[in-house]
Amino acid sequence: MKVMLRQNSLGHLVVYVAKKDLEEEVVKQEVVEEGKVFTLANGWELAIPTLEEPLRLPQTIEAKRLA
Amino acid sequence: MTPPESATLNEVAPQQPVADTKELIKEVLEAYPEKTRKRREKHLNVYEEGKSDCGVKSNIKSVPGSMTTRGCAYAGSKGVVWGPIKDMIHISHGPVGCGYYSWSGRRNYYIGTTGIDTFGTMQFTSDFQERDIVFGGDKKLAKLITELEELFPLNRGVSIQSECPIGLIGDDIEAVAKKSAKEIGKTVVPVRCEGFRGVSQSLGHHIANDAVRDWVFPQYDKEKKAGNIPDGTAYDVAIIGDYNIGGDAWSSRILLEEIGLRVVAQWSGDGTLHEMINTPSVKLNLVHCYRSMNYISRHMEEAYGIPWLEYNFFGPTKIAESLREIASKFDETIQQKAEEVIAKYEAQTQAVLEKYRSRLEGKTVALMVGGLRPRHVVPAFHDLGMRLIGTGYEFGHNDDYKRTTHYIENGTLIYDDVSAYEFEEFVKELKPDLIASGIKEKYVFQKMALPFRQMHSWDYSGPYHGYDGFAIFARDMDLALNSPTWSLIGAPWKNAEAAK
Repeated sequence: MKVMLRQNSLGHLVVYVAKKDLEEEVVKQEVVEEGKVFTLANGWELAIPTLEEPLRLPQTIEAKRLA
Repeated sequence: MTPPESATLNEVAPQQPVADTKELIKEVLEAYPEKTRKRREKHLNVYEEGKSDCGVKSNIKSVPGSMTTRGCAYAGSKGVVWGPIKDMIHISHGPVGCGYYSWSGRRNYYIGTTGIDTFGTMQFTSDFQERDIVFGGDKKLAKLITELEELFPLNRGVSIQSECPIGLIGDDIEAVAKKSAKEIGKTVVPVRCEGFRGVSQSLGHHIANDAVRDWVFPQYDKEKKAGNIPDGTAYDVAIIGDYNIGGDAWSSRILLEEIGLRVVAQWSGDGTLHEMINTPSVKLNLVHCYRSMNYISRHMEEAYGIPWLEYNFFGPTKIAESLREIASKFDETIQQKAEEVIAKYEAQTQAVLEKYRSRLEGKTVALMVGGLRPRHVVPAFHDLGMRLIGTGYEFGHNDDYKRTTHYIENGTLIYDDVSAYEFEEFVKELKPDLIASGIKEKYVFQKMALPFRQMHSWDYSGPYHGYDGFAIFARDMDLALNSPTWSLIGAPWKNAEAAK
């Protein structure tokens, strides 16, 4: 699904999923083979493909929900 | 006989415990058939301190047969987002009723000569007949746009607001828009906001936002490439999501200009097409109505790198907080000016509070509106010493309910897309001193002898934004609550109590 990564006013990384009206902070980032796994404040886990460095925010990417 | 000053002036309601309110929700739901009860119970809850959201589901289709207050996608696009753009002609494309019955209902104030260079309170429709449904209405639409250009040569552009039949019969309004735009040499925006799309007006906002992105912003990109967009100043901002109801955007703009910012665009109250085109050149987008304009703000952040900031200009506490937050995004001169402005209005605010607070202190209010108001006006009530006992959105989404938690206290009843029956039952039980909701609820509650304010169009008053607006807000709440009229109408349960 399409998710938008952005920084909120506190400087935290936030995931916004328009289709789900979901806006949650990323509480944990794990590096895996295929990129990264983001754990959100509501318990969701998203597989994020490898992102270009330096990270340009905000950015819309294709992510897969794991849990 | 002169009635006593107020029926409610000296009563203070006790706070409702969470468990009791939960019990109340259960009781109210019992009247429904099982299937409906299951659907509705997800939309009603009690806010508990510390939770990150209100615990309700939202943005789901209303239960068929229940009296909902929601509108349609056409209402969201034509009525809310596009309608207030004053120098464009907005065609209600389809049968005449949709446009006629929503004509000029939102009091989006504007400056200009109506019918010459501004068209805010005018109503244009393609007036579909059976023949247009059978043979398609594209030719009629093209002819209509040509005619409009002849009759109103000073229009800056045209938007085509689709009503239900357009999507159903499969008219190609995009092709007409492109052709007509060439013919008249102006912007023509087709908006696919057929009423049947989505569950409420909320999708209409989204569709309207997308239409701006696809049909207006490309013009900015083109002009930018050609080098026709001036650089602007470091203090350029845009007011996003303020529809200038009763002059709201103006009273907000005054404050922003006083702290030294340059407001180059108003979206969309008293706004113009060229303000919209020019918006991607600003340094910061100030978002008031998050619900209806967050989509375009997010797009501008990603595509043009413009940060956005939500602010709240209801009530002195939040105004000061918002002004400081806005100023913190700029340099010290702005920050200093923000402090000066806050200090400047201090005396005025104190006078308002002195006059009204004693008359409103401890009173309770129940809200049910749309957009941003179920949360944004709460601090204004708090400033007057009033308490919120229940709030809910007509068409809010999950992100709205998340934002609401910062505004409400433990034990507040939350109702999403509340039906007429539910709202009435809640009010009977919780007995708020004031109900602030829409025109569809107004007369029910007034007949129950409850003070009421219509919060969609400020009950034909306003503005309520900004320091000047707060004075009007306080006066209006006092007028509603402490009117001697209420003691002349007996609330049914009070009569029953008295008879015992």
